[in-house]
Amino acid sequence: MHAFAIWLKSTDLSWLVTHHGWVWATCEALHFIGMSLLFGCVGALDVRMLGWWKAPPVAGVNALVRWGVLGFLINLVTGAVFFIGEPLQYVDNPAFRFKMLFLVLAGWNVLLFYVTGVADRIESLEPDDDTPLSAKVFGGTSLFLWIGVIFFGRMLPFLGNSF
Amino acid sequence: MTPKDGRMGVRSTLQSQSGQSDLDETIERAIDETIRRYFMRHEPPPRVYARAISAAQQRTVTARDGSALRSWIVAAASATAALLLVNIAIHFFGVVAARAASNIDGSTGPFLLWLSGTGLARWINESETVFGYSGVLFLHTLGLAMAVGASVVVDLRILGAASRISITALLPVFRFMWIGFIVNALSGALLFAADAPRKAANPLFEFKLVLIAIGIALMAMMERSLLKSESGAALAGTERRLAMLAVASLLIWTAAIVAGRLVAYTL
Repeated sequence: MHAFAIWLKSTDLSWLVTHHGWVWATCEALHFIGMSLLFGCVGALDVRMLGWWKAPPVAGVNALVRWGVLGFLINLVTGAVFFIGEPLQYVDNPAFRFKMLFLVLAGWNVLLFYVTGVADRIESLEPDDDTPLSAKVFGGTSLFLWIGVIFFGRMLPFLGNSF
Repeated sequence: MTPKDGRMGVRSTLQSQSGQSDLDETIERAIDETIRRYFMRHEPPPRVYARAISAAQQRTVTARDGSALRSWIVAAASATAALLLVNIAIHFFGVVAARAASNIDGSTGPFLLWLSGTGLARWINESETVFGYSGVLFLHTLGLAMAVGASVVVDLRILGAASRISITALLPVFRFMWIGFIVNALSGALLFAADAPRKAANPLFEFKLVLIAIGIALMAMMERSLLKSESGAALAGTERRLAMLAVASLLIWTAAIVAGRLVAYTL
C-alpha cells in the first residue's frame, strides 16, 4: 500500500492536483455539495423508515435515492482526486481507515436492504403507514453509518495529518 | 378521508353529473394533475378541482408530459451555473482574501480581542479532545448536511423529482432544516469565537453569512407558501413561485458551501 502511494504521488496526475490551487478547492466544495445531496436524499429514506417523516408514501421517497447516488458518485470522484493528490497523508491515517470501514459497512447495509427483500416489502407503503421493525433497523443503521462517515471525514486532519 | 377516496369521489361525482361512464380524457388528466399537485393529507376543497377542470376544458388537449424533462434541464442548468460560480468565486475572492490577510491587525477591535481571549475561545482552541475544536467542526459539518440536505430534498421535489411525494408532505422536512440551521448557528458562533480577529477580517466570511441569510430566507418563504397551500389558500402562480424559490435556493446553498470552504482555505 505504501509503495502504491509513493508511486501514485510520483505520477503526473498527482502533480496536476496539487500544483493548481483551484483543483483542490473546487473538489472540496463539490465534496461538500455531494455530501449534502447524499445525506439529504438517503437520509430522507432513513427517516421515512424510522417513522420520523411519515407523510409521504415510501415509493415517493425511494425516487429521491437516485439523487443520493448522484451525490455519492460526486464524492467518489472528488475523494479519488484528493487521494491521488496527496496519497501519503491518507494511507496511514487512522481516521481515513475508519471512514473507509464505515463506507464499506454502509454499502453492505444497502446491499442487505435490497437482498433481504425489505426494500420490496415496504415499497407499497402509503402515507402514514408504519414500517416493519426490520426497515427501522436498516434506516437507523444507515443514518448511524453515514454520520460516522462524516465524523471520520472531519477527523482526517485531527487523528491524522491530512488537510 | 384518504386522498384515494378523494380521487374516486371526484371521479364518481363528475361521472354522475355528466351521465357518462367514461370521462373526457382532458378532465381525467386534469384530475390526475390536480391530485398530483395538491395531493394533501386533507381533502382539497372542491374549488381546487373545479378550477383545474375548467382550465383543462379551455385548453386544447396536447399530449405533453414535459415536467420530468424540465426538472432535469433545470437541475443541469443549476449545476452548470453553480460550477461556474465555484470558479469565479475561487479566482475573485481568493485575491480579495489574500489582500485582507495582510491587514488583520488594523481591523481588530476591542470586542474581537476580548472574544478571542475568553475562556471559551481558549478551550475550543486548546482542547486536544473531541470536545474541542474538532468536535465543534464535526457538528458544523453535520448541521450543514442536515440543513442543506433537507433543503435539497424540498427543492428537488418542487422541481419535479419524486412527484409521488405530495407537496404538502414536505412540511415536516423543514423541521430537519431548522434543526440543522440551529446546530450550525451555535457551532458557527463557537468557531468564530475561536478565531474572531482573522474571521472578521476575511471578506469571504461576511459574504458567506450574507449567503446563509438569503438561503434561510428563501427556505422560510417556501415553508410559508406550502403552509398556505395546505390550508387551501393557494394563490394562482404558487407553483411557479415555488419553482423559482427552489432554483434560487439550490444556487445560494451551493454558493454558501463554496464560500464556506474558501473561508477554511484562505487565511
